[in-house]
Amino acid sequence: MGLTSPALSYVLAVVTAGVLLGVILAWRRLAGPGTRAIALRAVCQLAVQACALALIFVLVNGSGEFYSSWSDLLGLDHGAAQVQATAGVSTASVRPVVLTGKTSVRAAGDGAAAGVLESVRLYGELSGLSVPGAVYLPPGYPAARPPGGYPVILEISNAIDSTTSPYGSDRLAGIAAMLIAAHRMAPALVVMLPATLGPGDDGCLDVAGRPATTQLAGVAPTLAQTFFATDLPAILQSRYDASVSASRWALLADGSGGYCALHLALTTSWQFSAAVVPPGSYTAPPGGAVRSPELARQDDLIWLLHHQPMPPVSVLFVGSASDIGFGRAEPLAELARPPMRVSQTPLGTGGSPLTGVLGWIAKAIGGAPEEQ
Amino acid sequence: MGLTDGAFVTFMIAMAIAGLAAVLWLWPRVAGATVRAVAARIGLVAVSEVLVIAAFLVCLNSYFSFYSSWSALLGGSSAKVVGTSATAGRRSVSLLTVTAAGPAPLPGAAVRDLQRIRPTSAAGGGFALASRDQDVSADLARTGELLSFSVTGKYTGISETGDYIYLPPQYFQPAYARSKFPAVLALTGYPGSPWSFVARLRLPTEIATVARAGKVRPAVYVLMNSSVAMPRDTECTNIPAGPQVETFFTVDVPRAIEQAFRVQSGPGGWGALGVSTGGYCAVKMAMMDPRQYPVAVSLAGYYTALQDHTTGDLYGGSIGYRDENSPDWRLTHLPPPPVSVLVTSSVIGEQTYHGTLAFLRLIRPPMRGYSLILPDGGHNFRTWDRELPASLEWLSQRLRPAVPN
Repeated sequence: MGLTSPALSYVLAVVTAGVLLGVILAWRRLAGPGTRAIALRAVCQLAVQACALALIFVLVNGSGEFYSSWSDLLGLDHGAAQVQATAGVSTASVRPVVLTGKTSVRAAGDGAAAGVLESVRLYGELSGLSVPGAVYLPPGYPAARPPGGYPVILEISNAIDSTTSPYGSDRLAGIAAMLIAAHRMAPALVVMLPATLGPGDDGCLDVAGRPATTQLAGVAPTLAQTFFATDLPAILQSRYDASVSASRWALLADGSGGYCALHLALTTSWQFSAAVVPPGSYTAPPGGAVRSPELARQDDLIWLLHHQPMPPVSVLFVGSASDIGFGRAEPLAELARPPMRVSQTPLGTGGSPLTGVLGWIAKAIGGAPEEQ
Repeated sequence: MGLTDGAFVTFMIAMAIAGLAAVLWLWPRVAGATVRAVAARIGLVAVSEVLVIAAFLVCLNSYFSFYSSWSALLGGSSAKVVGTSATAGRRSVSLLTVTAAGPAPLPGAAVRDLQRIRPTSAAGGGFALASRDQDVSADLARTGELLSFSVTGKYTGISETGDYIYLPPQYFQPAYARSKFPAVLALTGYPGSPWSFVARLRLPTEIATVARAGKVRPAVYVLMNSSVAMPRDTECTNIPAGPQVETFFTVDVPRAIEQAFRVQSGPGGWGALGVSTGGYCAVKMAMMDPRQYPVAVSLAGYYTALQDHTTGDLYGGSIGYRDENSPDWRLTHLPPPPVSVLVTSSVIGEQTYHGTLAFLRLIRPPMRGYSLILPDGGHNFRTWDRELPASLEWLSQRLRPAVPN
């Protein structure tokens, strides 16, 4: 009878009950004086205990499947084996960066040439997402690589292709070029990506797909958070000499990418140390991602600040003067405790409203490298 | 009295023997023919039976190291996650505390010799690791060291106590005084305690043995419980609106170890190894965070996202999120990650055998799968012990070695 077969436990249960009953019935005959009677009592007791313990052991072993057979229990299994490779060797995979265009950047103001703006398509090897965007390379790149690699400003906005929005890639690159030329900012990569990476999500969350059913077609998952927090750092560090230290990474977003950027800053603060977003309540992601109640609860950034340790990030709320005045970011700002820092400032005016903001980012990621 | 304390185990055995003796002693007094006497007999036998079974279960638990403490068994220490606190996460505050230390076992060391490095009191306070590097004894350069530590996650707030770290002899040798070592995170099954790695799997002893044979290069091993909220089985999952266990093991623990020890932080510096549930954890974490764990060994693990009465709801009621935590599902719905995994099982005696073969069939480049399939052997430490030397060798070949100064 196998060690793990149910029959063994039944047999042991019946035997245990039988032995127990026998002892209870024969009790009087063993109650006499004399060593022989005492010895018989002891034997009876040991028989009861042995049966019971055997039963318990078989039950415990059955619940955990620790020992699969008698030979396994007794240590008689000695079969050996070799490590076998089962999947083929690595083949060339999808290229992580595809260059689709290249323009030189003219600094805002004096129009001097300063750096290059690459149009790219980035492929995330974990998320499988292929994302169009732009990367600003500062003057001197890559030869003038700072020790530890280039700082990174990651802009997340659906307006990156706009030529009129201050968040458009051309204008943002122009301001970065101007600040770098004026030595108000250390040379940095500015990476501009859209906030919406797939259907059903505008908050760059990891949104699971839906398995196909008889009625509905399946929906592929969109792992947007995985793309931003895991894939993107890998691409930028291996292809663009980006810094590996979170203290050199900042996020910048307008209304379309604000939730995305703040969510990344609060939940993946080992990757980002500063974020500039418009003021808002941030209690739910934008877009129509259908989430279970528990997932929706932790999508509420106020809830997160109540329930997780304070992330070591600096957040700057930037909006029109009226936004700041009405204190839409107050609930979040009041919750923040060190090491998290929150400040607010009105958006600048004039032709380059983001100049002051980029200056703030330059300070935030330009300090002495943090001990990781 | 601690659940696994030698004194408690002895006490329980003494109680069981006393119970048996009491039955012998009182036997004639309940030998009457009355109903009351028969009831008394049954009561007497029942009490002694309960005592013997209790002692037996305490011995079994102590041997297999399922539950390391009363709170691990019964719960109650639920204040695991540090809430909104000003101190957690502040820079330069050490989040790792060493609570006990002793020389690591030499090849062939007996289990009873390991007892002396067991921490006697977690409240004994840590010692400053930084100031210790200069004055370690020459013995440690021969044996290596086994430390017991507590850690609080900077980003998740999760606290773990009673885990172990193994430092190889080279860590203390002058030739390696400035070298950074590769590190391996080893995770237990459920229920389990990190001590089972030391006493049952004999991982430090095995490492020392294969290292002496020149088959592996020196590495630091971090031996941890895969469950961070015993008695709940947390399956290394970022539980929606709950403990972020995956982040704890992929971000918090490596950062805390890198800060306290001379351990590599770059690519190729870390690997993961696990047993049973820990094997599932190692493979899942490698696939979800390949930059932290590009190599993983799963001894008798499984490759689907489990949910049962010990786990509770781990996926926030979301089928999609549960899928994301399943290695099998990830391989069929997402690009294969650039990781190497070694999975082990047995043809006879392992319920994981068919699941393991199914997982191996799903692996595509750039992911690489390796298998070690024994002809026989159950879901226990003796089987895993047989798989260990080859697994350690495989792992060592894939870690970036420590370079002598």
